[in-house]
Amino acid sequence: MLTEQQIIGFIEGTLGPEEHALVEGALTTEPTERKRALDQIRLDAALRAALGGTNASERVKQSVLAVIFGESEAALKQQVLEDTTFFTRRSRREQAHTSRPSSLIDLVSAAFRRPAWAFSFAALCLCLGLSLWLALRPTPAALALSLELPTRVELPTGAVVPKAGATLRVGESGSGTVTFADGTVLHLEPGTEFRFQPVARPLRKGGKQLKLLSGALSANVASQPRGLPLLIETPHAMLTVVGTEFDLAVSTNQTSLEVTEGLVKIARSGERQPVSVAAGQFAVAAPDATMRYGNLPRNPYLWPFSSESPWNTPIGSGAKYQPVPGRPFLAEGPLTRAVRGRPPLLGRPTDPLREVWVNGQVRGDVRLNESALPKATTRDSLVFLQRTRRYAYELREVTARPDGSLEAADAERTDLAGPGVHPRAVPALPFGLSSLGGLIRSGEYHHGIQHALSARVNRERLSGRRNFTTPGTVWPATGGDEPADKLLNVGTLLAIPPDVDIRTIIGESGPAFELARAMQDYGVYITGFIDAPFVLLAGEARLDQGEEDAMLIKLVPLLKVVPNNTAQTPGGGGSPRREPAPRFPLR
Amino acid sequence: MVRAILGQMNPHPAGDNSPNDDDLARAAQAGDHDAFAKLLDGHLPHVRTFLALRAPSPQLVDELAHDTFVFAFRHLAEFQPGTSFRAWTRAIAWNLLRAEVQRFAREQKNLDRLAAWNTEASLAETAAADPPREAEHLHHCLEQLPDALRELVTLKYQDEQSTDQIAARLKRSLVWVRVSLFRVRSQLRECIESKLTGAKPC
Repeated sequence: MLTEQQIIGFIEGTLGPEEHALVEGALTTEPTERKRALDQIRLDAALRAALGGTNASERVKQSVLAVIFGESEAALKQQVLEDTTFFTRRSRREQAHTSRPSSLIDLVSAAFRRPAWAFSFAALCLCLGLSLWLALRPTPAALALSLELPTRVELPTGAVVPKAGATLRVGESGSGTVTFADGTVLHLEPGTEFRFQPVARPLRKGGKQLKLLSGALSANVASQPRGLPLLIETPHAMLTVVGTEFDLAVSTNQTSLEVTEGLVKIARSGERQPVSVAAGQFAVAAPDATMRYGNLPRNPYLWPFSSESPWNTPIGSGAKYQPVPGRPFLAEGPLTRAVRGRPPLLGRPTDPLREVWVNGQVRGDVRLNESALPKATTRDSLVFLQRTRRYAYELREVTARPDGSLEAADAERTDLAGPGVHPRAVPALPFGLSSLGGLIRSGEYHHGIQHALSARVNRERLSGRRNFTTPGTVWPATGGDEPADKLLNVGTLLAIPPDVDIRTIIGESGPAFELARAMQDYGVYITGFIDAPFVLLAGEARLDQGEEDAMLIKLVPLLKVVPNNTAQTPGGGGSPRREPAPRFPLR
Repeated sequence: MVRAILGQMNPHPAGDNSPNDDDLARAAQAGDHDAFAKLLDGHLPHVRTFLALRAPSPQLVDELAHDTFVFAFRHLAEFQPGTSFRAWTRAIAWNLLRAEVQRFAREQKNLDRLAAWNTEASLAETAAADPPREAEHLHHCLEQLPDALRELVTLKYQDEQSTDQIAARLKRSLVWVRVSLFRVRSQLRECIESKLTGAKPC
């Protein structure tokens, strides 16, 4: 029989992993024990409902009354408008066909036979009707009550009580989170401005409705009740969401939407016909242009950076090739552990928001699941992909603090649609190169690698003598010592020359072939140093270690330096060996 | 203090019927919204408690309570004055809960184990046609608690104090507070079940 403390610990989630498993096993096999635990949960909920503060009951009461009063007032409004129409119509008809007044309406109508009078009277009726409706229409408070407000709104400054009609702004220091009772979560980017208000046309009671005034949000929307989809209005568009994941950004002149899962309907402001945007598609609504929509040509999470980025620039026909200076990479023997994983971390809107502390100050925040928290400090950057598909956070020497936030030696935000190379070196990116660049990503071993790769070599193979941690750098890297031709530099582009027939060496398909093609068509950038002669960096895509080592033992000796890879002649210039990376349509 | 709160939870401790309910229901049926608001005040805590005792997730309690009273308002004409308004709203809540439990069980694919068991239990329990009267029994069982335990319940659920605060206030350890609350909840559950089965009340 489980002890009371074991059950309490299980419910509260405070047991260690072993004891948790033990208790879970007992609860699984013993219905009596399971009932004890469930009774505790239910009694706890019931006592809260019965005795707890009146806030929850009051909230439910107000939401019920809002529906009730909203219905009554809507019916009254309809009645007023119908009466006015009827009155006017009857007046005209009586004017045409009736000479004997038979009712008050007829009497009044008969009194105003002259057109000018009739017109004045109709206008007067309309004004009266309008005044009556204005007096009796749902007040802002009643409308507010008819909205489904979130259960929690967290801004960088702390939690706020959601109120209908009040404009909220996420400060620049962090992100915001809006959580609804059904599990729908909105992640709000820094600087986002929004308001919970009725946006449906015609007016709708109930359901989630909000106005996104500016900024960007990433939404994870639970399945919404029938007839009550989530409605989001922006200055340029109206979105209808039943249940899905999507990213939405509002700038001065356009609203852009990218859908990750499910379906979102979007209509330009003032237009009734919406466009359905499905997973993997985008739409852009702007005031003075027709709606643009279509398939997203690439996912910035998996294939980041601009078309012009050095990471996405193919080797050109003008590329020159020189032997790798210094000792051959296999001089110390066969390569081992020649591929190492640096997978970026992707948070979901539902993951907890964690502050990033650098030198005692909060530098931003990332969403990260508990299971993905770094356990030990790493000198390398950890890359956190952020929702809304716009940025990555690159943190150096990061550890988890006891309160779940992150402590880092430095943090830098990288635009996923940008060049992937920072203009200057910073501690998070000591050579200016994004740590996301060059990683072999999910599925690429099978579908092809369409970008340059990233590799590390040991320090002795790199130039720079000022101090051990500052090797020489060449474009696109920056921030290092003077480069030297007799050794490699950080930023050096290596590639398999075009006259090497990789098919005869590696075969015509499979991971090794895709890797060889990428080394020939895009090359490999040296991005830093490591405790081995040559290490290729991978993201999520991994093979068996033996297979990875075997591939690289064959391919690495084929690499040559491309000396004329410069800002003026990226990839060596000339005709590129591959099509350029498709442009992001929304940036 | 607890007794006062219990009064708030159940304004008609003598039973389901309140002489006022009939008048209020008739007035509400005639279009008096204030009368319906008073009915809401009187019966909402009971409906929330009733739902909390059977809902597969605490998050559903307020949603279903809202739906119960909106449904009640829209079907006010069907309510027969002279019968129990409480029993009527409880039956509405029960039917809504049964439908919601079915939907919830279908849609919640990634429940943790505890939530999954809770849903499973709710599915089995809500198969019954009639709503149980657990919420009333809870009220009576609370009244029968010894003073010391009632104080503990008051601090926890009425004053909404944390375990730390309660421990400090009562000069007891955190473990004592947790275990005592565990025991008082178990005691209340046993009391409710004995009343449901017609056994001698605790």
